[in-house]
Amino acid sequence: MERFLQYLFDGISQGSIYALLALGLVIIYRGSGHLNFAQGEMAMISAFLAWWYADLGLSPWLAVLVSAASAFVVAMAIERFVIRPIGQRSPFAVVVAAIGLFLGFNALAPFAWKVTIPEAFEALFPNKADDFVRIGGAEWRDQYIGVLAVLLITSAVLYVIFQRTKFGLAMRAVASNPESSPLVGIRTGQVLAVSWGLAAAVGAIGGAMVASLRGNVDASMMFTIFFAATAAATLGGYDSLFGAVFGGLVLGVFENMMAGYQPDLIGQELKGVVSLLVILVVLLIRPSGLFGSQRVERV
Amino acid sequence: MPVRVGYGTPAHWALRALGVLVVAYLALSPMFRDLTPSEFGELTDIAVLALAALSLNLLIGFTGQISIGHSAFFGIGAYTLAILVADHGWSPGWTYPVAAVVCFVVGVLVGIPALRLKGLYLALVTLALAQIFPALVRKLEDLTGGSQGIGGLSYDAPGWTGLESGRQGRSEWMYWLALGTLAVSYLLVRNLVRSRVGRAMVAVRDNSTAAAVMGVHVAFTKTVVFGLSAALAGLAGCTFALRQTQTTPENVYLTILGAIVFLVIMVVGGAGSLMGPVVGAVVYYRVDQLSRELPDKSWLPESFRDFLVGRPNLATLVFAILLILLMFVAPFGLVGLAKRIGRRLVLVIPRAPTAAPDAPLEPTEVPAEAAEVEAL
Repeated sequence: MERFLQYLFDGISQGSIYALLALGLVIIYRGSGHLNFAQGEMAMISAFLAWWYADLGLSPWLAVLVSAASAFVVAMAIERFVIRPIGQRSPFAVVVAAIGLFLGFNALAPFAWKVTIPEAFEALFPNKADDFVRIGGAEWRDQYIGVLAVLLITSAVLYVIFQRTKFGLAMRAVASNPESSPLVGIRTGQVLAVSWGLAAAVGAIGGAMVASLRGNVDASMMFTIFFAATAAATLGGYDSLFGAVFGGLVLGVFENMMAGYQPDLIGQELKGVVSLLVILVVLLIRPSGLFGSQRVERV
Repeated sequence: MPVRVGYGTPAHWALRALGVLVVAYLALSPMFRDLTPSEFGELTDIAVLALAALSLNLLIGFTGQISIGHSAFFGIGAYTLAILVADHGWSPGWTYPVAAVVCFVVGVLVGIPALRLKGLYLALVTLALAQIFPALVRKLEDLTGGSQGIGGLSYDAPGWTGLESGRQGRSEWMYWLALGTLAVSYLLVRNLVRSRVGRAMVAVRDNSTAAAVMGVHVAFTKTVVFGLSAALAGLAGCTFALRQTQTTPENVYLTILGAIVFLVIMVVGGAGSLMGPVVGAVVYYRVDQLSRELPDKSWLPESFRDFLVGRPNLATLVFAILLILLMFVAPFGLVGLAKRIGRRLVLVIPRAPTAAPDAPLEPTEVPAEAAEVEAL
């Protein structure tokens, strides 16, 4: 039981990070149907920004918020000046452009800051040896609880934006019917740009959480996490915000249980195989994911 | 006003022959030049990258299916060769077909769930594959040697080639092997693309619903092409393992960044054009090489050289920006751009369609606009 709870707590914190990244993927996919392959690298570069701002003298949490705001602005510009004009050509071109962004951001971090080894990142939560809550014999570390809290707060803010504001209504309208929404006076372009901004800001928070848990920033820190986030979004359904959070948490817990109970077969090294299996099974059984809507294509 | 050349006329054949001669000269010229082993090594690397990009072009350029995981097939090819050579004492040459078959089977198995569906699912699954391949190699230590990898791979030039033994002969043999694999794969892809299957592939790419209506078995076509593409990537991996004399999971071409490099080469060269991957590989390799040497170049301003010191990845950054810019100005890459310029100089007028034998023969005139589209 103690072991079970321990795997559960660790899984939830890992899953919270997957969920933050998956939320960003879903926000962009809902609006435009684009899968943003650069989501992970955008989160990575935002974490570098937070590290840099903190280095310049901002307090750690303020640095995270400012990096999220910077990510918001940059991502809006990327949508407006790169993705939208290219998207008018072909969906394939958008994928290539997103891969270009992936490659560019990945190369930019070491290039801009001259770092080739991981740089220390100040922890955002209490992280001493005895900073944990004991529940049923298992230790739930404060920083893990903190990451979950950040996920819940972010989800709540997104819920309010999407369900309680006029702009959220416009975003939902564009998601459900992109052709008709301009007819009722919605500025589709603006909505899409803000979707990218929101996604990048949520990703920046996710990136900062990863950096805080690792204790450092590194150009390759988001590879595995981004890939797990795509599995989480596939599981939850690519157009469901709730699905992204649910999928992220479930994947995190499932992966940790598999790694914990099958240390020889899977272990920490092969956690990724669990994600691949989740993607394959979902695609075989229910391609739209648990909470996604089935799309019908007209010819 | 471009020069107009009719398809199949002597002038057209002369142009084509000239093109083939130029390419053949460039590929075979190392035979007449005294190159050092490291220069042969560079050419081998270019041929390997070109083959990897060619395999992606078959999949992306001609069939419209996106893979961001070809590094995994590249790696499976490399490891198949390494295991058979190091543990079972095979001659490297015989491992090539085995590696191709292994990659084909893995490709088909992975492709089946993803390729039934439309959209980016294949990209997702291949991304996952690229991500877990190095981890899997480390885990299966008994078979793959774990993080240490498998070393001591070499392929001495067989006697019939007449190449000298030792490092010089080996490096030359590596180049001919890489070039031969590339040439055979190129011809295979070229003939495939021009066949009935090739037309089905292009139909799937341009409009899979319409293709299905016209009787193309979409899922079957996509799956077989994915398997073939994986097999070609595996062949590239074989030569790469021999060139490196070892395989380790740390090698960048066996990780997701490798898969992205292959994609960059393919897109920069020209998606959907046969020569694209080769052009892309040469450009990528030489620019990457140049960027590493930049801080030592005396013709650059001092301040710029100082700026570059300690900053890695300049070439990667340049290619990332180039990739995005190309999507604006030339979505079909450098070869696509060259074709567009070439069309202003020489216009090939396609042969007028001939009627079925028993129908009355009538002279047909090809409208100029249609000819422009068909040209090249």
